[in-house]
Amino acid sequence: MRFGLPISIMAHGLFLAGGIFIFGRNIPALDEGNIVAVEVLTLSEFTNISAAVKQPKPKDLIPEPEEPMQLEAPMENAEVESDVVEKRQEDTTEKPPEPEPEPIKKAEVEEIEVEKPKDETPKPPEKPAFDLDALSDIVNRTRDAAPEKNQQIALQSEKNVYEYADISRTASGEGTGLSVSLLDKLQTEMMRCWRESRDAVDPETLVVQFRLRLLPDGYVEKVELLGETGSGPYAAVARQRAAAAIKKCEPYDFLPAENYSGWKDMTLSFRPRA
Amino acid sequence: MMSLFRGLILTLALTAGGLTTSAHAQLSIDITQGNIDPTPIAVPDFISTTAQGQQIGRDLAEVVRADLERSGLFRSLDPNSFIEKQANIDYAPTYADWRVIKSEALVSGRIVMESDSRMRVEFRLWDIFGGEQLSGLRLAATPDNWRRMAHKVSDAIYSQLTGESGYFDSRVVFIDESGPKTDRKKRLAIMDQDGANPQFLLTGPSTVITPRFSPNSQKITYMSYENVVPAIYLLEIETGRRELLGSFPGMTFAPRFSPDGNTMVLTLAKGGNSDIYAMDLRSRSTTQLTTNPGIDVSASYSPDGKRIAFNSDRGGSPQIYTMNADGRNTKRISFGDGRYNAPVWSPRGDKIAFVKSTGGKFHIGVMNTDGTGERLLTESYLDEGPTWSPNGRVILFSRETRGRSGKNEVWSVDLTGTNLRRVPTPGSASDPAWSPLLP
Repeated sequence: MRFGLPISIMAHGLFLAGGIFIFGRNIPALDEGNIVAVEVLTLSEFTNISAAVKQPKPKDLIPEPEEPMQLEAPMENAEVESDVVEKRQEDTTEKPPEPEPEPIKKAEVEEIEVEKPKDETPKPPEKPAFDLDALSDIVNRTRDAAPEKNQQIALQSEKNVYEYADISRTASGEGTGLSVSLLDKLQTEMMRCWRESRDAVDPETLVVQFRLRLLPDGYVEKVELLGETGSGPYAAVARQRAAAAIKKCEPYDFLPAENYSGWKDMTLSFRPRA
Repeated sequence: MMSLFRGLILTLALTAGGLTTSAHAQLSIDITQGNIDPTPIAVPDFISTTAQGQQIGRDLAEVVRADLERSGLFRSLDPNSFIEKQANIDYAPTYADWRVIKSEALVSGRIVMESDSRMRVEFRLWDIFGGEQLSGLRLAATPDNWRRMAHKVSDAIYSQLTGESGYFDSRVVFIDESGPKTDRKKRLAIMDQDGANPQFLLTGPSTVITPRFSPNSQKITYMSYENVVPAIYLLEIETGRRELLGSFPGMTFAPRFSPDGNTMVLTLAKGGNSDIYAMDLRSRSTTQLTTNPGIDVSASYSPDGKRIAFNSDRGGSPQIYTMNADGRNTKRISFGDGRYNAPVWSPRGDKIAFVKSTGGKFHIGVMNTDGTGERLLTESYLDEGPTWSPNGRVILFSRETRGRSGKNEVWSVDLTGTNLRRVPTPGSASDPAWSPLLP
């Protein structure tokens, strides 16, 4: 059996070579498939979720025991509603000073500017100091987006502003900006709300720029005029229309809550076409 | 090791960038396209404490709604849809109630009857989404002048919401036509721009054509065929005072005023050649502006008085040319197919309206003052005689229908060409001439 191994190797080799010789010709060539066009899409068109950044868990962070929410006073004794109603009633009974009639000078038609009345009703409905529904809505949306970051959202009810812990903004899954499709959505909504100054002379010169700060629920926190290029009555109308468009599109709740840091502060430039 | 190092640097850079973004990021959006649909506006009936005032308040609001609607820039909302019924216009409206019905502006007004012969109209214009008053105005007049006050209210609203002056408190002089085409009587008449209050300016059966308004006064010139030779008259509408400026054989159009009202441009045929002349209305002296052997007609001043647009066939077919007010620096500005006629410079200064005939059809069109941006706004069997609204946004013109029983009508079209409307006239009407805003 000294030649057993070489014989075995040779036998296997012959067997393989024979197999390749016999079956090799019959192996059908692969069909040429139809060429499929492949479109390369950038991920940023659909999402802006950044890679997760692992945050070391602080050792000294001891989660506070959750306490069941308690009402300070029974609902029927709550004074907030009645206070508001009374205040409004008082306000509406307050009469602005009657404009003094001017002596009539011309025989036909006189034009006199009428002064503005006391604006006793604030235009945007004031948010209640503690809006349980809004808070619940925010908590729910955040839960969906980043369940583990739930406890990091704090509400400063006295200032009526929402404050987010910085760590939650840079946390895993948080967007660094708005995706292209969301920018498109925002532009589309603004187009619907904005009445373009097409009738003006050289409308393309009437650019108005506003800085808009939004609350997490999509309502406007602050609007600030950054600049405008035109002057005169057309420019005044362009400014008024841009400001009205910002209010008309409110609330901006079509913007995703998880991207709040991306849209809470934006510059809107209204540029009419020629 | 190297790749690990690179990865670390990349991670640090991204983290730093992310933090910076989070602290200072400001999204910047350019909005380059907006809504150009008519602005929805609510004009409730003006309130009043007296029955007479309430009736005037209803009628006045109806005229305001019609004015705004007719401009094509506003959509007047149905008063039945209004939720809030304001009892006092001195308080801000409940904006939410007006937002629900998609109103973007609200006009709240009242009529105060001071005496039988005196009333006051007060109104406020509110920006519903901006949540503020845009303007407030008080007008005083006699009750029978309520239509003019309605137009003044419309003008104030229009001006505030568009940035350009209104055109509602203005009038139109036109030629009232009666009788068959072969024996048509043409009489000078006047009406409000919306067709209300039509009345004849002249008594008698004289045939009159092509009235032209002075751009800064209530004076018109017109051409009369009272005698065999056509004569040009100057008529003061308020007083009815008429003055003969001269008789000019061969003239087919009345002259047009310069912007200051002191000069007129007209065509005179001398030695078989028609040229454009300027006539000083104070001295009655004339200055020849064109000397070309072609037929030069239909001169019209630019609103600054520095240029004149006119029509000439010097190039072989009727085309539009411009020149300086002294006749120098002539340029041809129309180059399209067809024949161009009757150029009229817009009071806004940015456009020239004209009549174009091509392919057996007539069009009213506009072009920029250098001839670019030509747009045809209408098309019909016969459209002619364009005249601009005082703010340069609307054009009135005559439209003649085909056939032996065809008649002339006055139509209006705005610069978009989409807002084409017939202006109601008592009968057949042609040759409209739009006045400046009334004082």
